[in-house]
Amino acid sequence: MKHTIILLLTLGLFATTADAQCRSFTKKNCLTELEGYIQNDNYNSAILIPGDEAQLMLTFLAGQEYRLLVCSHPVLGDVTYEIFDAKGKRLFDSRKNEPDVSYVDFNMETTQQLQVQVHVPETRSAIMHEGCVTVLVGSKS
Amino acid sequence: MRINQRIQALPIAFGLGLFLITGCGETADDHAGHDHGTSHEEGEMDNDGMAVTTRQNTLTKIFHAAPSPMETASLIKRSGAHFHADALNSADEYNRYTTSDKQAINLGIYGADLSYATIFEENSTSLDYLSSIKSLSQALGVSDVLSQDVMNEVEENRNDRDILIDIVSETFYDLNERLKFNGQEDLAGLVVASGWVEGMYLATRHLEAAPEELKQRIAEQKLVLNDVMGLCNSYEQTPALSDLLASMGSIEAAYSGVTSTTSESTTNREESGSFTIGGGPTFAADDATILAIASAVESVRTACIQ
Repeated sequence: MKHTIILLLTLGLFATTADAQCRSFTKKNCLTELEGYIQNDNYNSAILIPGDEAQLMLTFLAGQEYRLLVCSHPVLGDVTYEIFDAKGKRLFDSRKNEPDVSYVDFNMETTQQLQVQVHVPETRSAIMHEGCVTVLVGSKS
Repeated sequence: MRINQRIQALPIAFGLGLFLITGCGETADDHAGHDHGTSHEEGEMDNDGMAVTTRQNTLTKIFHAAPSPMETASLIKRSGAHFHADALNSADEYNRYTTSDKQAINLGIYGADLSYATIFEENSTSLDYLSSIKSLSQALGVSDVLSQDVMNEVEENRNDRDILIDIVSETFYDLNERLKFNGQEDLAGLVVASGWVEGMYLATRHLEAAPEELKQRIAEQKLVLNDVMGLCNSYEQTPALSDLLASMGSIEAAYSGVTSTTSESTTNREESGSFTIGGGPTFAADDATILAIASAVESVRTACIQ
């Protein structure tokens, strides 16, 4: 019983601490990259490990300019991302187009729902680290 | 002595590891903690957002999002629509909302009104709504998203539309983040859903004088409605959230009259390095469908502001 209570308290504390650190990481390292853009209201951040993926489906509106930013902790290595249309056609691949940049700027001629897929690379390291990954979207007219 | 302490801690470490490995709920947000397999020194995430993991199984984290009210307001303005002050929910009404559900719903409503006023450079109106939003945020226990420093910054820049837009966007991002962090995702869902409803309500006023482009943009909101429903359905369903989503079923029904044709998506790279994405679906709606959407939106919105 005592162990269960300690376990639950510990879990709650770790989850809260990790979430808080991720928020802090996002504020410090990611939001500044959206300067000049109106940031989307949604907070999309998660703690991921090597081999994990993340997906974001979002409607992008015609006539708007967007910046899509995938911001990740360096310990996770070269996190890559792709953009697909609703039919699964790949429109953008960060590995081919922007290997050194964590964001992509694009204009929408039409309103479309796009899917962003984020990939955290596998690691051969014996000790595996986890780190924050945040997906942010900014827009301007 | 130290070995004994470690042995006593094993059940906790094992349970913690099992809890984290098996998923603990369903989001990756829940995964963080100590490495129980090798060393016991590390574990807590450092200030840069990194830690040694205990998790072995990879996962796919699904994020849900929807365009912000600021984007909708911007779209309304670009479509050639005019500002209609009479369409806003009065900023003085905030103290009528006494339950947390109603406060969250009207935080979304006021957020959309604020975005609309700010985009149309009705700065004095914007300040009134910011003040009401501050009061509702206080009532919901997230008052720090609109601190006195932020309010002072607003006052100092009351004539600068771009700075006001930045402040409003940051405020609603912080609000969303704080509500999620506090375990109040249902309230975050109410803010998002009601904010979309209010944005649509403002877009569908005075339709008789609306330019064709605005009607086109209203039809395209079929996709955004899909985003909003997906986002809100991903949260734990409280009675208030499920009631609001159920009421929005009438809007979904009205949107069933919107038709679409799809062409292949295209991408072109500009000289500046940015991309242009075109093609994809084209939406169409006749006047009767647009009026049905406007009517359904108005009914849901009227219930929201009661």
